[in-house]
Amino acid sequence: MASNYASEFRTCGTTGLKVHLPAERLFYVNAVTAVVALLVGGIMAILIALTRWPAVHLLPADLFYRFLTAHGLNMLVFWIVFFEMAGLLFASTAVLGSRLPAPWFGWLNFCLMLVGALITNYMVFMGQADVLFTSYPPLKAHPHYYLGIILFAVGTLLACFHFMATLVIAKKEGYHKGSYPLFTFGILIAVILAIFTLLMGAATYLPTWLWAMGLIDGINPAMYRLGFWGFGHSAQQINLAAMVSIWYLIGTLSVGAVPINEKFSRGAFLLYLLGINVASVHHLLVDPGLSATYRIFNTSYILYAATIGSMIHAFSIPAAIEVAQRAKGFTNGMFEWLTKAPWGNPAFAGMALSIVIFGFGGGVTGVTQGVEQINIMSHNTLRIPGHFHVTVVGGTTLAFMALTFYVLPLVMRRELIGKSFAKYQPWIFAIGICIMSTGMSFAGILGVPRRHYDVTFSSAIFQVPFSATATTMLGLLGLGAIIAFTGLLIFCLIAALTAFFGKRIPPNMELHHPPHIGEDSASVAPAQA
Amino acid sequence: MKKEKEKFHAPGTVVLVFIWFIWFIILYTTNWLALSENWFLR
Repeated sequence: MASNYASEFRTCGTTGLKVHLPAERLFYVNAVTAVVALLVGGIMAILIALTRWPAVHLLPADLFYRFLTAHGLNMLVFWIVFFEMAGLLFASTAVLGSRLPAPWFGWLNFCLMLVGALITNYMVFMGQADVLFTSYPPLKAHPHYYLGIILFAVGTLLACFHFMATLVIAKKEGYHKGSYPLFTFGILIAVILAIFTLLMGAATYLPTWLWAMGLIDGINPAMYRLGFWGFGHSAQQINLAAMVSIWYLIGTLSVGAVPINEKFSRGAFLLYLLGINVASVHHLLVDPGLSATYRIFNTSYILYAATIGSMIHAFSIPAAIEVAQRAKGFTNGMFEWLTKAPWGNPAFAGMALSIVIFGFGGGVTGVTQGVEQINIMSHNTLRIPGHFHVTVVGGTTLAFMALTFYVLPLVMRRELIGKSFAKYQPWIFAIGICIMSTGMSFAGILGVPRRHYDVTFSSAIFQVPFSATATTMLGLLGLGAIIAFTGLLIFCLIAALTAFFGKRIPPNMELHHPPHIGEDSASVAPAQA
Repeated sequence: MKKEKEKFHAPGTVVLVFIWFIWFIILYTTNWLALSENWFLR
């Protein structure tokens, strides 16, 4: 049975990975859609940041909230999830050398996701859903807004099942034997988290959709918030598991790093699975209705299971890189392995910066603000976006960008255009995000609220005095956003030019049978590509 | 024993982890200090 698919594979000239061509096409469309979402979300981001900078104050109030909604959805959901779908395909087919069981099913779920994303974006930009990313009731959007999100979520859920079916096929048909590689294992953990997340999303958005259509009378806001964060924060834990998997993968591809103790790393992934979803309660630390015991147990205790997982990875990955570098002869002093690392490789630089920003910025601020008492000081201030921009943007997005520099030649078979620009891209983006988040965090410490069009209340009768330092910090936010946006544009430009105009790398078509059938490497005509 | 040492030799990473740990302690303690100054016990 499996031998029927032998002619549908090509061998990557760089990595030797066997790539199933139907999976490659799906990978391509998912990745391109992700970058388009990133660009849309990025344009929204710079407009919002220039509005929060009091000296510029670019947008009128209605557009500010509309674009903030679009920014949240495109960045936190569409860019990241489409990219993760590409990651699922890569981890289950190319890494395992397996075929995709049902390419038509992959196209079905991609179409559902695309239609969902288009409907949601359309409703937002038409002004029918100025409810922000969280859409807390009693804010009510047009029913099609919720429908779009539901369609997107159903498509994603089907893609998760397709991923699991591919893992089964890989074992059953003998494409892969033994335990799954660490990258695939990490992505599997992300998929399990995704299934939980999407079910929580369904439990939240389905009744909200019925309410928006007028079929039910109301939604309990407290229940909505509990359900929404089961979806909204768990979605970020999918990103976390995917990002860490990518760190391991890039470590291996760039310097040949091998995890120093793979079982230990797998155990750390399991801690994500066990601890992270309940820790979503940290969004509800100041909500009424939940007991202090419930809130504190879930955040100040269970949250640390996930934190310990991240700390293990944060030790394991640099250690693996150090061991690999020392084996190459970079043994002088304490840090020659680090100074002689391939910093000119944008994938390595992006991965390293992502680890530093996530660990020193996102991790420590997250753990600190997840404590109930401290959360009371930081809740609903700009400190919160200051935290998650160094987590999801400086961490996850930068790691995804870094992987793209490998993926373009590897999966898309195109030579990278603008290699010299690519070398600087991770640095520009990382510096911009760090400046922006610093501005956000300190403005938040000085009391500046988040999600606010005009904190000076310039046209109100009563003025709200903020210190000059707070205004300076908001200016820093704007400056950082300009630098980060420049990095984002460079990335999108390189990705788009390479994907559409990069010099084609000819496919190395080789018959690929599962090992139990026997390798036959007789070349077949490239015309079959 | 010597073999074990060769198998895992990453002193630079240990230093990096300690730098991170000190940074975390400073940030965490500063936040509790700020809380104690802003949240008076009566």
